[in-house]
Amino acid sequence: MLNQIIKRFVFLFFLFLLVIGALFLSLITGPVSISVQDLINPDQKTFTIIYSIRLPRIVLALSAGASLSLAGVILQTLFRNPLVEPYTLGLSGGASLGVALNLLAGLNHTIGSLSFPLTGFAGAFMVILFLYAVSLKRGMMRLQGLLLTGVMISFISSSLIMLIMALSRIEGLHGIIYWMMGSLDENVWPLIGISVFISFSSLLYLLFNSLSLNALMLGYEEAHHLGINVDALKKRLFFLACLLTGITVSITGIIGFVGLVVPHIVRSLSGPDHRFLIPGSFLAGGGFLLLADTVARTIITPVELPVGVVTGITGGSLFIYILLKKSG
Amino acid sequence: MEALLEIKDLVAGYPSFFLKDINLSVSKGDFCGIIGPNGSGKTTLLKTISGLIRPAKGKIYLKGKEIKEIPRKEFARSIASVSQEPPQEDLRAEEYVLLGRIPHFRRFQFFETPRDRELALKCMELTGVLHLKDRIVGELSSGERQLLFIARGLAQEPEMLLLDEPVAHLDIAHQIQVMDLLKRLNSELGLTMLIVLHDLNLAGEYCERLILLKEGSIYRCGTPSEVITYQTIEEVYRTVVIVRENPLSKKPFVLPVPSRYIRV
Repeated sequence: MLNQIIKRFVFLFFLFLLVIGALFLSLITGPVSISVQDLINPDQKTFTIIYSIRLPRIVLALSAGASLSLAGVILQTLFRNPLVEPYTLGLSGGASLGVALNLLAGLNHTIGSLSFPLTGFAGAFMVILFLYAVSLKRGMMRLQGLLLTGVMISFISSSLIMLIMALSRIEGLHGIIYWMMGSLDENVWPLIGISVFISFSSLLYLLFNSLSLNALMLGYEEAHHLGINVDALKKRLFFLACLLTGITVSITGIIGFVGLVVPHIVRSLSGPDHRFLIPGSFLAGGGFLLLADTVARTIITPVELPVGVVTGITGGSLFIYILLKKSG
Repeated sequence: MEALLEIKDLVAGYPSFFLKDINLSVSKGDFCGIIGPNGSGKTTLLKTISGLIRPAKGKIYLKGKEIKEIPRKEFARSIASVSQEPPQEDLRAEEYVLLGRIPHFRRFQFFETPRDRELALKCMELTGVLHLKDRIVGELSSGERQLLFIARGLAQEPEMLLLDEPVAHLDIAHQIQVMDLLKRLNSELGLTMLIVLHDLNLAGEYCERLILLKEGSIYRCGTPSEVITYQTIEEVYRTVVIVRENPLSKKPFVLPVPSRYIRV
């Protein structure tokens, strides 16, 4: 048992090294290659590239990937199902609809860029309330039903976004399209700051509650028997999943499947114990999205692929694989 | 002597179904069985005691203190409910038993202490599943799993175990193994047992006291030979049976009577 714990700490340390490695790789690759000497001793031009182009993007990739992975872990434990995550449940869709409505109403001009996280959160929260009400009504919601509902919510949201685009005037349209294509190319530092803050505070909260999450993966009754106040815990976790998803989507646009791929791999390597699953997913999520983004923006330079292409292909394939394995 | 668990005028249950006028007291060291037909409220009674269902009326006391006043974790250190459901995640048996230590974790304690780990192993040894400690719970047989579930209950270091049909789906050898284990835990560690059982013969054989439920009320309560008589069984289960005495233990056992032997 003690051996197990040491092994898992080594695993976490390995993930940490991986993140550092990805960070350096991402710093030096791009349209302009930067050598290690330049990195240590940058001239004016390199300094600008590093600090106003690459670093904000790296920080956002790390925190967005970590946030989406944590949201995935939370949802998988709550629904006791490895296939649910912000994207497959429609939370991301709801959040993006919220942001589109915000752009339509022009709230970003009156309240400023803070309106993005707020409306993103509100959109995700509406979806969770809906899913919660449906699953309460039908008792325990079945796997297929839940996922189908999530996919439909995503469809409805994207249709509504198209409706909004059709209805909005040219100036508004520009804003929506720009955001929808939205990648990690964001240099509004306050928004990046919010993303970092939310991901780190969620990490702390989840670490303190990781034993309760361990109990929760046994199911409602079992967690209750182990002395956990399940109803209160569930409410707080749903809220946190919405917060993580809504804020991330509002800044980066929809990036699917990060919350599916990362926890799945971490779980298969270090086991389902949340004391390791949570920090592991936090690190691996950041590292995964950063690597995916580095690949997306360098693979066919000078064209930059949306990062969602990379996460979508890897995550979608893994989704099908898990589904086949589960039913087979 | 003060009762460990005391239930007074309890009314509880789902909107369509209610437990009515339950009065019951369980003393320390009791080995109590709850029997009754399907839908008579056995599981509901157990869930109400463990706090999953809130009583509509009446009170439940644990060592003289009303259970809704007791913090959940403190409650879990006194009463352990033994699960029937294997975890969905790929937990190893030892990790699963260690989850039983959760009620004992102090605030801001993050890892099990060496004592927690020792205790988990001891509980597994006691139930005879120590050799399975590195296996995945989902891959164990149902008999092994049941013993593991009991080990997790023991890891909570409770004074009382609540079990809901611990021998359902087990063959006769495993049934006896589990019941023998519960009996041994009761007599050697003084652990109080409250067990829902379907099998009247096992209930009569092992329990010192039986509570027979009918349509949400206690129909009869007493020693096995007081409760398991052909009259009460026929009245409650509406089935003709023959009740005899086990030649070894002198406990009652029930023989079924198929309808073709019944002449009206």
